[in-house]
Amino acid sequence: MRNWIQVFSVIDFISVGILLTAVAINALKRLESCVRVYALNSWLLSSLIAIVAFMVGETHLYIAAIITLLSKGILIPMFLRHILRRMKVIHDVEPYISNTLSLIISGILVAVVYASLREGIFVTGFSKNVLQISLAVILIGLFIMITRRKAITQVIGLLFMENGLFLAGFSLTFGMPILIELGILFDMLMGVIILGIFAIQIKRVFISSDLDKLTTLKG
Amino acid sequence: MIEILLIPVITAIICYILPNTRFIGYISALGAVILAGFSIPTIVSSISAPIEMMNGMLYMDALSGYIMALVIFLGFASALYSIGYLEHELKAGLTDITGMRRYCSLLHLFIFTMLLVTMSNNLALMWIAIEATTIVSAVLIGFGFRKRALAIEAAWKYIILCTVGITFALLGTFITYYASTAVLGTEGTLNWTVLKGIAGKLNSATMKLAFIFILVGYGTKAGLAPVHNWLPDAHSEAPSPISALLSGILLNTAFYGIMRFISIVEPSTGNTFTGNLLIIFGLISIGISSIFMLVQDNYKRLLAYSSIEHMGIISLGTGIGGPLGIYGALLHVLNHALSKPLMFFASGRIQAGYGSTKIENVTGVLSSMPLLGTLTFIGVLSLAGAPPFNIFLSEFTILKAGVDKGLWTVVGLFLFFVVIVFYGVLSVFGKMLFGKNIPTSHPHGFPSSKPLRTDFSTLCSNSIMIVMASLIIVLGFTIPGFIDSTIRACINILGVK
Amino acid sequence: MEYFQFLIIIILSPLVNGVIKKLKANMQGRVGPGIFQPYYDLIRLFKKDMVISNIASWVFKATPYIVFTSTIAAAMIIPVITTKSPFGTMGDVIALIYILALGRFFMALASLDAGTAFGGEGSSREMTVAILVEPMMMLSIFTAAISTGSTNIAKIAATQNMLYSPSHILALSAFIVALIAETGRIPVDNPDTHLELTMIHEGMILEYSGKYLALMEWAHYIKQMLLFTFAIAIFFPLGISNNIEATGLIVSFGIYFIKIFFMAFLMALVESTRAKMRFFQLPSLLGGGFVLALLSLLTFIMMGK
Repeated sequence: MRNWIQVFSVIDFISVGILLTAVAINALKRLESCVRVYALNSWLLSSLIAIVAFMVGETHLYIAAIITLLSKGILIPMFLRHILRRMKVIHDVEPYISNTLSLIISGILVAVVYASLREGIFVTGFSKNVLQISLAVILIGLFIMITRRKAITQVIGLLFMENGLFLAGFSLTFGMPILIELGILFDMLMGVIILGIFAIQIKRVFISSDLDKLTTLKG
Repeated sequence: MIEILLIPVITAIICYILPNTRFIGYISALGAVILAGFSIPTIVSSISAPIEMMNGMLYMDALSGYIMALVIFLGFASALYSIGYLEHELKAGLTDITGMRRYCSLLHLFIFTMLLVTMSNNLALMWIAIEATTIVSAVLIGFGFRKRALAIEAAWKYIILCTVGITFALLGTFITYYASTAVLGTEGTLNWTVLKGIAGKLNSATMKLAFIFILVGYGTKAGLAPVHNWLPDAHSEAPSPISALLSGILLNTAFYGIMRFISIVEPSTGNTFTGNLLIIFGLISIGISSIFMLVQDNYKRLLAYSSIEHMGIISLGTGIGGPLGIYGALLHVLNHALSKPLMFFASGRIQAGYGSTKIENVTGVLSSMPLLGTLTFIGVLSLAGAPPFNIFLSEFTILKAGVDKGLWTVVGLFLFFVVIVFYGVLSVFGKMLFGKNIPTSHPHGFPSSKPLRTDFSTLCSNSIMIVMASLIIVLGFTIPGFIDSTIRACINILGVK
Repeated sequence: MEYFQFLIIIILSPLVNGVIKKLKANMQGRVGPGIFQPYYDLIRLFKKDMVISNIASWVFKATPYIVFTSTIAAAMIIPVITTKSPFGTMGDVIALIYILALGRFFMALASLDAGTAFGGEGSSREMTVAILVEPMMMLSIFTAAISTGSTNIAKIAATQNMLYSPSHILALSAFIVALIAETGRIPVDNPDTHLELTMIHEGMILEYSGKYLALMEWAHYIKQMLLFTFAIAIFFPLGISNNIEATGLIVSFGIYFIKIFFMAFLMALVESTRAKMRFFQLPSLLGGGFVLALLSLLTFIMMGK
C-alpha cells in the first residue's frame, strides 16, 4: 500500500489539487460555489494529512487529519452557507479585476512562488513541493481578499490563507502537538464565526454587503 | 500562577450569567481588584526568579511580569472607568443592560487573553493568545454597532487586517520551528526557554526569514507603519475604556511578542539586521503618524495616530539597541501605558459632555470641566513629550542611546518628527482646552451652566484619572527603584550586553 | 503498411463524426441519424452543382483544396497505429500546429472573400478563438514534450506512458479545452446548426456548395479525428506499436479504435451536458484553459516529472 501511494505519487496529485482549487476560486462568480470549492480544498488538505500519517505511521497525525476535516471541511462550510442564506446574497458583484485577468494573475503568482523557492531551502521528508504550493495558496488567498468586493469573499480569501498556512506549517513541522493544533483551529473557528456575524450586521446596517461602502473612515 | 489566568475568566462568566443589574460595572471592577491582589505576589517573585509551569507551556520571568503588571493595572483602571462610561451610555440610550453585561464579560475575557500572551512559553500558544485578543477586542470595538454604523466598519477592518497580519506571524513561527529541528534533531521545539538556549546555533538565514515574517505579522498587530491602517479606525471608533486598553497595552503585548523573538533571533544573526529593520519601521511609523496627525478633525483619531507614533518610538529604541536603547524602550512602554489611557479616558468624558468627537465642536474644556481639563492638559503635555513629564524621560533616553551609537540621521529624523508631533498635538488640544466654552446644541446636552454630576461612578472615573496623572508627574522626575531593577532584569533576559 | 496509416484517418473520420452524433442523440433521448450518414452527405455533395459568388477571387476557389491537402499533410505526420512511420522524422509538434494554422488562415481569407456579412463574422470570431487557443495548446503540448525530451510526435508516442503525474493531467485538461474549441463543439460553437449565434465554423463555410463544401466538410472531419489522434499519441499512447509487424499493427489498430471511441464518447458527453456559451464569455473559458496549461508547465518544472 505504501509503495502504491508512492508510485502513483498520490501526495503530489493531492497537493496539485489543493493548488487547483485555490486558483479556481478566481473564476467563480457565485458565492455558494466559492464555499463549495473551499470545502473541497479542506477535504483535500485533510486527506493529504491522513495519507502522510499513513506513510509515516504517527497516530497524532490521524487525529489532526480528523480534526481538520471536521472543522474546516464540515463545520466552517456549513456555517458559511448559513450566513449566506441569512444574508440572501448569491452573486458576487463584478470584482475590481475581471475574472479572467485574476485567473491569469494567480497563475503568475504561482510562477513567482515557484521561481523564488526553486533551490528549496526547506527540504522536508517526502515532498518539497508542498511548501511551495502552500505559499502559492497563501498568496492567492491574499490576492482574492484584495480584489473582491463582497464581505464573504474576503472571509473566504482569509480561509484560504489559513489553509495554505496550515499546509505550510504541516510541511515544516510534521504536525505539532495536538493541543496547539486544536488551539489554532479553535481560534480560526471563532474568528470565522465572529466575521460571519459581522458580515450579517454589515448587510443590515449598510443595506449592501459591498465593501466599497465601508469607506467612510478615511485619513 | 494558574489562578491569575482563572480569575478574569471567572469574572467574565459571572458577569455573563448574572441577571440584569445596574451594578454590573461594580462587580467587574471588583473582579479586577481581586485579580490585582492575587497577582502581585506572583509578579514580584517572577521578577527575581522565573517560574515555569504546565510542562513548559507557561512561563513567567521579569519581562512577562513587567508587561503583566501593566495589563492588570490598566485592566483595573479600565474596569473602574467603565462604571461611569456604562452609566452614561445607559442614560443616553446607546445600550441596554444586556449590552452592559456582555461588555463587562468581554472586558475580562480580553484581559484574560492578554495575560495569556504574557505568560506563554510556547510560541504557538502565544500566537493563539494574540489571535484571541484580536477576536475578543473586535467584538468589543463593534460594541454598540446598532446605533453607530462606523463601529462595525472599524471592527471589520480591524479583524481582517490583523488576522491577515498574524497569519504571516504564524508562518514565521513555523519557520523558527523548522530551524530548531536542524539543531535538535527530529523533535524541534517551540518553547522559548529551550530556543533561547540553542539560539546561537540556529541557522542565520532561516532565522532572518523567520524574523521578517514575525516583524510584519506582529508588527501589524502592534501598529507599526506601513501596516497600521486598521489602527486609526479601530481605536477611534471603540468605546473609550476599550480604546484605552487597546492603545495602552494591547499594542505593547504585540510588541512583547516581537521582543521575545528578538532574543532568539539576535544570537545567530547579530543585532545589525534586526536593529536596522526595527529602526526603519520605527522611523516610518513616527513619520507617517506625525504627518497624519496634522490633518485630523477627530480628536480620538488623533490620539490613535499618537499611539502609532509612540509604538514607533518603542520600536526605534529597541532597534537602536544596547542597554540604554532597550531601557528607554521598556520605560516608554510604561510611560505610554500611563499617558495614553489617561487621554482616552479624558476624551471619553469630553465626548460624553460635548456629544461629538470632532475637534471643531469642542472648546473651553478647562472652563466648563476644570478637573477634567487639568487632567487632559497634563496628559497632552506628557504625550507631546514635554518635560517634566514621563514620556520626555524615555524619549530622551532613546535619543541618548542613538547619539551614543553615532546614529545621527536617525536621531535627526526622530527629533524632526517629534517636533511636528509636539506642534500637532498641542495645537489641537490647546484649541479644545482653552477659550470660552460655547454651549452647543446637541442631543446629549451639555449646557455650560449645569455643574458636573458628582455621583459615585464619576468619582471612580475621576479618581483613577487623578492617580494616573500623578504617576505621570512622578515618573517625570524620578524612576523608582523597583521599576529600575525590573527593567534591568528585562534587559538581562533579552540578552543585551 | 506504415505509409498508409494516414489513410485510416482520412477514411474513418466521417464515421467518427457520425458516431459522435449518434452518441449525442442517444444521450439526449433521440434516435438520431445513422452512423454512416456523413458518408452519404459527402457523396451527395460531390454530385451537386456549385454556386459561387461573382465577386469571389481565386482565393475562394483555391481554399478548399489548400485546406484539404494541408489537413492530409498534417494527418501524415501523426503516428496512428505505429510510431515507425517514414514521415515520422517530419512529425514535429510545432510543424503540426502550423500546418493546421495554414488551413485556418486560408479559410478565414476565403470567407472574407465571398463578401457576405456572415463570412466576416465567422472569420473574425474564428481568429479570436484561434488566438486564445493556440498558446494554450502549445503550452500543454510542450509540457508533455519536455517530460519526454523531444518535440517529435513519434518519439513522444514511443515512450508509451500513461497519465502518471499531475502535470500530465493538467496538460490533458487544458488540451481538451483546446480540442473543444478547435473542433467547434459545444460550449464553444454548435456544429449542428447554422444559426448566427453559432457561426464560427459554419460562418466560414456558409458560402460553399457542392464539391467545395464536400471538401471543406471532409477536411473538418479529418481535422477532428486528427486532433483526437494527436491527443492520444501525446497523452496516452500506451499500446501503440513501435514496429511494423502485422500482428502488432492489428493489435495497435484495435487499441486505437477503442481510444478513439472513448474520445468520441467524451465529446458527446461534454456536448450533451453543457450549454453553448455566449461568444464574449469565451475568453473566460479559454483564459481558464490557458491558466490550466500554465499550471501544468509550472507543476512539471517544480515537481520534475
